[in-house]
Amino acid sequence: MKKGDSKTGAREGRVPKISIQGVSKEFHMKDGKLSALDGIDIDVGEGEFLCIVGPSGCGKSTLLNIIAGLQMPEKGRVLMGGKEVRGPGPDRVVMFQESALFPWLTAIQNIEFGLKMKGVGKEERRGIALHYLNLVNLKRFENSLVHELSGGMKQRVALARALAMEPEVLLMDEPFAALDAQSRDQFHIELQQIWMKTGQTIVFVTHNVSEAVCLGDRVILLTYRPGRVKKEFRVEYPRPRESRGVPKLGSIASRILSELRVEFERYMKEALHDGRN
Amino acid sequence: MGETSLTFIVFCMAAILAWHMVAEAGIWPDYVFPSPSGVFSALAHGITDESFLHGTIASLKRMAMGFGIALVVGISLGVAISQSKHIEHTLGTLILGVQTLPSICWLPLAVLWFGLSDKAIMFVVVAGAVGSITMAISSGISNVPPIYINAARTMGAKELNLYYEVIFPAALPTIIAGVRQGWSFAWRSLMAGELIYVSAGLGQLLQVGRELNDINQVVAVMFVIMSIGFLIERLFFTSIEMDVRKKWGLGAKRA
Ligand SMILES: Nc1ncnc2c1ncn2[C@@H]1O[C@H](COP(=O)(O)OP(=O)(O)O)[C@@H](O)[C@H]1O
Ligand SMILES: [Mg+2]
Repeated sequence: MKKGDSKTGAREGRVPKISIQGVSKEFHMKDGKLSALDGIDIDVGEGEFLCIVGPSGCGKSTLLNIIAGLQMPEKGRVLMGGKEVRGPGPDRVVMFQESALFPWLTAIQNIEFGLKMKGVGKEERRGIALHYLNLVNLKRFENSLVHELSGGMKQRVALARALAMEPEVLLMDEPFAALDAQSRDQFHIELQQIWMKTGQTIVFVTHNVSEAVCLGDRVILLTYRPGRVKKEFRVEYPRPRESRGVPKLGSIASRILSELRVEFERYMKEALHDGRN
Repeated sequence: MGETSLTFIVFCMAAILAWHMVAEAGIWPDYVFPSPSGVFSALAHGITDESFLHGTIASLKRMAMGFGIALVVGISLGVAISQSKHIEHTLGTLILGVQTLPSICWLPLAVLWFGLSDKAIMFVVVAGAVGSITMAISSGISNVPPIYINAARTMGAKELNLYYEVIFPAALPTIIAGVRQGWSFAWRSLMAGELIYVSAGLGQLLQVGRELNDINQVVAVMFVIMSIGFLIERLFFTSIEMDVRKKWGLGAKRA
């Protein structure tokens, strides 16, 4: 695969919201090094809903953390509106797989947290937080403690907390992976509705192909060890989409899955080969 | 709760009754085995002439000072240790080792340094509490789940804010347990220290009772010391601990 093949996404003539340029990351282990990401080039357009899909361990979280500025790439760089990312910042909020809510705060205090860090005054941030709590349909749980909420409710609060920051980009790391199928379907619809309302730029990472196809304007497939951009797929279908029972989405998903299968077989062969030497 | 405290009161009454009966049986002379009535009148006497009150105030003042210093020193050392692996492996290990020393073992050294003085007692109190507080702060901070810190950093928390708003609150359950342990070590070393010196504290009242061969006074002061220790440790620290555990949904710990 030629480098730069996948460098699309930004509309012609405009600075992309995020530009990932030649990002590589290695981890040094006791028995040698592990190349997690290798020369990743991706542009994300303003207001785009981008999904990155790949098998577990292919470097999705690493890539997202690099965009967030929580980890630094070995090579390459990430530009945010043309400026290089050098650390975390409230313009790029991450929503993690585990809710990462603070157990010493109530639901509403959790949502207010980032606003407090920004220096927003007490009254104002309470107002904003209530607005977003309402948006995720959790109005009644304002004063609930974190441990009193179910897994799905926690992720709702986490989503509200991220949205309340009104970040330039929302980074989502398999946020629904731990939920049951019904809650996940519900979230897919609601997240799309919120996205249609706010026009928020989203980078959403998942190992679940049908989730990626359901949510993304564009789906980028990563390879496994090292993580490289393998292919990208455009998904043009009216929203809000259901994650199941839509033939067009299903056919894109099965194309992605067969690519994944090829990838998996290649990896297994290489692993076997390495094992023999 | 109501039921358990009722059970406890019944138990106390039964214990006092049994004590009374053993004392009445006259197996030992009453200067060896005091009777409840003797101890209660010593208690009443100590309360009405305010000597117990003044003793308690003197001891608690010392405790507050010593423990306050221990908190400042312990928090500073704990934060320093959590900052670097090198400090942890050196200073941290040293403190861990020194902490195994029963705090009263500092007393001879303290007397050599400060003489038989208030300073010596204060030193022992601080030495008794600092280790536990330091270790609790440093392990509490290093065990904060990185995901909290990462989440906070992406929401714009940095430096001092990160400590105030995330790291300390996240470490609080560990910190409380350590501070509580530090308090109880300090309380024990304070009483031991007060025994050896004209200190005006509860420890001295105990010593005076011994010098006067007044077993009723000795046991009465023991009751006072026990009650104060119990009130502070159990009611104060336990209730804070329970509050935090409840808030976090950690469930009740065996107290
Ligand atoms: N801090 C680390 N140290 C060593 N290896 C790591 C570290 N973080 C991730 N890895 C490895 O890098 C690869 C990619 O990890 P990750 O980005 O978490 O994958 P994904 O999110 O796609 O499951 C995995 O093989 C993982 O074991
Ligand atoms: Mg991951």
